[in-house]
Amino acid sequence: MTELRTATPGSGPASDPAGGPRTGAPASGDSRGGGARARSLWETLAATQARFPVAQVALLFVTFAVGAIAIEGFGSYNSVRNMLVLASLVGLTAVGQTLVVLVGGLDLSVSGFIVAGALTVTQLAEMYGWNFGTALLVAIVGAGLLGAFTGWLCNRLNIQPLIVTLAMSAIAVGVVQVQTGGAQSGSAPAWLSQLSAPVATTFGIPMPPVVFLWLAVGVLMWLFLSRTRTGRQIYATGTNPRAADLALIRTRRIWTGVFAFSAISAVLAGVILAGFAGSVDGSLGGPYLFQSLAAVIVGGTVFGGPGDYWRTMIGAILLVFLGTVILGLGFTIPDRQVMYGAIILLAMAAYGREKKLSSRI
Amino acid sequence: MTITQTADTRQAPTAGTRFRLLLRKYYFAFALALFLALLITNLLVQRDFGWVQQVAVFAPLALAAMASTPAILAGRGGIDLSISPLMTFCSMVFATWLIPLGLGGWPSVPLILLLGAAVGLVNGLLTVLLRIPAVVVTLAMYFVLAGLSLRISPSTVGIGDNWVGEIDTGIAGFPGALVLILVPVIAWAVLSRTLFGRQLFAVGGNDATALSSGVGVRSVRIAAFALGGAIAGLGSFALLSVVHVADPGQSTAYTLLAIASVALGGTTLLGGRGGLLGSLLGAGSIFLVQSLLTVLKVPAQWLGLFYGGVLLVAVVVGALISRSGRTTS
Repeated sequence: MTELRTATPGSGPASDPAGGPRTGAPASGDSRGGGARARSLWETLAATQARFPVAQVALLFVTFAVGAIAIEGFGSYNSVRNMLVLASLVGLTAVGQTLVVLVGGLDLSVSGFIVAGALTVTQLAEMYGWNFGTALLVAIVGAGLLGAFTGWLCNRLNIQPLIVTLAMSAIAVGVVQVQTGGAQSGSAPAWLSQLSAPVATTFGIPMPPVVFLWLAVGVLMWLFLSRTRTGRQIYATGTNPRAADLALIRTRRIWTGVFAFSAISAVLAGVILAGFAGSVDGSLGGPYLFQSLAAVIVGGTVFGGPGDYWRTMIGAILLVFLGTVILGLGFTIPDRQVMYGAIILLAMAAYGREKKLSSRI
Repeated sequence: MTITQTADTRQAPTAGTRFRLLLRKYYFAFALALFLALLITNLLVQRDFGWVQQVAVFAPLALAAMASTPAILAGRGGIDLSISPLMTFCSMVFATWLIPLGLGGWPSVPLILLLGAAVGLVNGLLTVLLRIPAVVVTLAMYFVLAGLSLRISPSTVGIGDNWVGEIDTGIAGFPGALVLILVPVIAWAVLSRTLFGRQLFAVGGNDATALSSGVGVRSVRIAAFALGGAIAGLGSFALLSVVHVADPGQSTAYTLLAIASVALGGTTLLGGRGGLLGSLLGAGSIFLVQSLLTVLKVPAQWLGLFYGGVLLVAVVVGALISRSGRTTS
């Protein structure tokens, strides 16, 4: 309240002085003097950054260069391929999270649905003698219903999605666990493991299918968000729910749909992760919850938009590169966890800052 | 818009609305009724309830729930997800550093409380000064703290022969853990009557109005996070007294249940209404149900489903109570 001027830039190289195109729009209007003044270099950079994640891409190259110089074998084809596989797993778990963040929510049930999905297609399928297709269908329908209920409830009663998804995560795992009798052990069929095994090939190309799958998902998500009506409605709902309501967008349906989609995509990611890990237990989803959220935020998607899935993809690759370099330099897994926490805070400080309280009076 | 709605409810206060308003005034009434009912059921089922031991086992959850409350009361989506990892982190610091330094005695209490408050302060500063949503700040802090705990020691650290280990056995039949629980309750009873307490509720209710009335919204909010951190520091002693070791793998044990307790205790997650007493009763209800489930030999795999269900019901009931007379969006 003491600083009445606009947000001061200087929270790192990725800093956007407008505090993100949406959140800071009214404040930045004052300082720019109605655009009569010539734009400074900083403003040009910020405008470019808002359109394309220049800072993240630059950091990506720097990280890769550091890794290639400091760690032996980091730049080899095998190493890059392995990192791309890891990135595609993170990216696939972040598909639903991206949409949820775009409408202004937060999905903490990703880890629960990953475990539930993975257990359903492995352990439950074995128990009940389902074939893979049936098990997958059961998982998708179940997750869709739970997710839809989450979205509907949050919107209807104006509850923070954080808490409802936290509960739903426990419920999703619980529903499966009750049937398996507590023991969590499933093993994935061999063909599923071939999807993401680093040595697997796709039509003769020495790159596992999961990477191409991720690319296809990326293209589809881009088409969906930028070219379809529902995609545009998701942005409108996130930016200003009231305005979206008045524009006859059924925001409750959007919320219901987005959370159902997030649950389903987490279940599908869980199936792929089951193949990657080989065996399934309750700790399968944990690491991916935070990494998926980190990928979304580091990519530059902000709560309530703007954002895009391809930004998340860049974020996922950046995270995996950084994580690999950190481990390669002799740090431990807990260190990497601390680093992920710090990088989320940095990215949010640069991008996702809320409006000043004094500007809301 | 709000004015017309209030007018509407005044014209025709239905029975439902009146009940809601009553529950809003006595926010902890629901939790109190639930707690008493469960306590009676428990005493009927379990003849040898073992008060001292039960209170000691209950203490960590009680303190985690109370520690989560101030940040939520401060409103605007304020929530502290890092309470549970902070308790573990404080217990790790106590067991690995303070005891070898010879500070394991009573001097450790202010030190650990300060450590907790400092972490809470960082959460508050990041949330308020950088204007990052509290969820993101505390989730990041959650991972930082869980990572640091594992960094300090990848496996459990014993506390040896220490006064903390004697809390759970009780001092002359008086449950020592009850002291740990009562300290924040009494502190809160005093605090909520001070200027800070009133300002905290004002900020949580409507921060824009509070700012216009000259309340230092930012400092109040930061202080709320620091207060929660200090209570979490106290909670680390409760944690240590139960298991007698500092376990870095237990960082996430109380995250879900603590928030469920707050919601069950009648504190609205939108901020501005509620209190520590409600969270204590909410935590008590959850603990008693756990105890009941154990006695009735309900298989462990049902627990997750049960926790999720309780949290869901708690937030839905809370949202229904705090909803202001409106019917649709």
